[in-house]
Amino acid sequence: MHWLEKEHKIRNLTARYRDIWNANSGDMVWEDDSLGPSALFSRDYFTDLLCFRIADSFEDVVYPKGDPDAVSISKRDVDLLQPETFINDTIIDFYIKYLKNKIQPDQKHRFHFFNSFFFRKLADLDKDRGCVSEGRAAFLRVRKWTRKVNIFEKDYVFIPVNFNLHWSLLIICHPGEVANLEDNEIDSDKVPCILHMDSIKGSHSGLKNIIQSYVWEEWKERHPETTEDDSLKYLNLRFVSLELPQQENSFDCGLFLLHYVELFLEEAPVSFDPFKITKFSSFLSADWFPPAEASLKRSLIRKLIYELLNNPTQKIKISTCNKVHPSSSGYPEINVEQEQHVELSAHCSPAKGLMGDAVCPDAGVGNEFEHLTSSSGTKCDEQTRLMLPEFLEPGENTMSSPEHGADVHQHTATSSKLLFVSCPILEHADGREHLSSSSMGKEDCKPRDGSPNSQFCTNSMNVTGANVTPWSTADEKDADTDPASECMNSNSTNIDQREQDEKMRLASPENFGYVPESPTSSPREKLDDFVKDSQETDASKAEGTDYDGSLRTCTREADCQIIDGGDIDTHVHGVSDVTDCMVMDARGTVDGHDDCVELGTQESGYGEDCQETRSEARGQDDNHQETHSVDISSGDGNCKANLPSSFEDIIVTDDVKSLDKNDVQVIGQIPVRQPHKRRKVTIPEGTRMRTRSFTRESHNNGT
Amino acid sequence: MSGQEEEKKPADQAAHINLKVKGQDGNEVFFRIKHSTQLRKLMNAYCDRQSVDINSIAFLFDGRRLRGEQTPEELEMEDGDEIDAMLHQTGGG
Repeated sequence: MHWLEKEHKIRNLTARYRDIWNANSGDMVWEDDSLGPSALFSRDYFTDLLCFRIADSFEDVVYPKGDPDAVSISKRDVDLLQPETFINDTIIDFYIKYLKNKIQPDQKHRFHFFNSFFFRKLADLDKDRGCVSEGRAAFLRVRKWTRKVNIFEKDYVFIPVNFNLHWSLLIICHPGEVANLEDNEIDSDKVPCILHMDSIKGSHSGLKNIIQSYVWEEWKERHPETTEDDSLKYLNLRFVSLELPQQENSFDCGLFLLHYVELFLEEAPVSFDPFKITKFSSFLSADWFPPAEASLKRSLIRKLIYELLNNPTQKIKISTCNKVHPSSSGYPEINVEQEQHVELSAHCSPAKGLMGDAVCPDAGVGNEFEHLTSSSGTKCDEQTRLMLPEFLEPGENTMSSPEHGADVHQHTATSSKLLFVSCPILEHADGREHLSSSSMGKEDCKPRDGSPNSQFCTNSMNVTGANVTPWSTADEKDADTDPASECMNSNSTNIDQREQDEKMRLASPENFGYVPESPTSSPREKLDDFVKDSQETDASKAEGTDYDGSLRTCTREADCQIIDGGDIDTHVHGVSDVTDCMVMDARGTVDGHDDCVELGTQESGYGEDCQETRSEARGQDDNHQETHSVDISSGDGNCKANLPSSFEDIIVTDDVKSLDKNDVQVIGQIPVRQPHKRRKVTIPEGTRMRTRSFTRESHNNGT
Repeated sequence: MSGQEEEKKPADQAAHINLKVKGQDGNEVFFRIKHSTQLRKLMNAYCDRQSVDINSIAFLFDGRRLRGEQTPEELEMEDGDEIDAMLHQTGGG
């Protein structure tokens, strides 16, 4: 698949990057003090350290803190914000919560947000796949969800919908007005209706009936006096499938959902009338926002989460995320103090020339080369972009202040604007730069420039006023060389360039359409890269780049470790639970008992516990006929294999070891599994392991 | 069966509540848990019994997501309440 290819490329790069690191680590200049000490240690030490940071710097983020309904985000969830990855319910619910908290306090009562499980529970897609169950039964499943909220007092009720690995959004508008409908005539400005927002329109069909009947059942529940005559009003509630900006890839639908919610909340008209949609503005129309805007959310949400992580008080400046979506008009204004940065970044990145060419149709010289560069750029870029920002992020975050990252978007936007303005003047110099960078690209990142990125970029940073960029100089100066370092340079350059390119497009979407070969997903990586620029120590950027190779692997390792760790953790939990647990098998099957005895002998150290367990089991046995107690002693996989799944009858799990003896008891189970499965389960370890790995795999596949 | 348990241990009545965890397949597991016990224990026990990775499951109570550190007490759970165990959802297009 596409992804595999990329991964392969990345792996290839890993080796190269290691070389570079080996070659350069000695004479690397560390501009950032915080990084200084690392130079004293071996490469391994530092990479390990970085891994460690990435793996461990992330504790679960609970948002909003103190809210009983808070969402807990784990690293696993944040990982889903990596490029081209499906996002899950946790991210969706988190961001919706975040948006909810941004609403002005006096407006909050107008909205209700169901979480992402509501629809699944309502439709119960798991039970009878595809066919939506009958209204009343569906309603009863979610009846308690609205115990504390009356949706008919709300202007808008948001319902994320997930099935078939796709996200879309339902909004019930003015549900309370349905009752006032007289023969389908509208009295007030508030037109009750259901909006469906789907970033792949048509892929979620069949929502109409279930949501209509939900509203009806909900109404009946609250107004028992209602006559069935009213049902038509509800069951014919207007359902509008909107024509909205569509995703241009196969992985961003969750982000579109979130963007729909966010932009809808921004307008959130006091009274909404679906008939007025096209009349006034782009609101809820196909050109509501440029699709890339939604895709950009990936990195923005990730930043947000890291901000929360680093900022336990959770008082995020709202401004940070107001910028997130520059509404449909354009990018937010830049305040004066940032202009400096803008200039800096504009000059710092040699890519600016390319940028100019790309956007100025009449930039003669540059144009010739544009093609070459962009193609080679794409290549390198593809390789790099996957690893650069995404994996560096956590480490980087620990080093830089979170606000910084957010500001960068502005810089980027501005710098592209500046460039745009000045590009005709730059034209000539640009051409040259182009030449050098494109030729490098052509040679497929062949070594030429031995200078570490840090030097290189520092150079360019020093050039503030002039348009001369050090590309050519550097090229000649360091013509003898060290493999791949150049590749990195050109990579980062290309990224800069493409990033700006992308930004430019975004900044003025009406002028520049989408370039087909540039995936919509790219802007976010570009952004991330820019974040590094914004640290203004390009040395640190370079160093960051250097790490990428090893980082990539090690992140992967770390990931694995995390997963494994998670598993082990669960395992340990499981084991400890099991240890603490006493299971009574009411069926008293002999083999279960046998197994247990065996285990008991194996784990002689826990004999006491077992005894204890057993005696207690006996104590409780009385209610069950023919009860055998199955002691689960500690730490043994075999033991666990005995425990789960197949006990058909009453099982008592008892917490013997802990002080809270009766903390959790499984006191019964309604069977679902077939009896013969028991055989399988008693096969030690293998079964369990397989189950686990399946789980993990499917998890990964799914995401 | 839970009724029998209750009869058997009247002394525990105050401290314990019975909770039902309902899987998406309709499978129900009953737990007896102390008011003050963190739900993590219950979650672990459930996932262990069902042989599922705890990270793949979201637990919900009356539509609210549960977190491991919450207790029945703070959630005002009552005897017989039902917890939904649902698979995490994902999607991209």
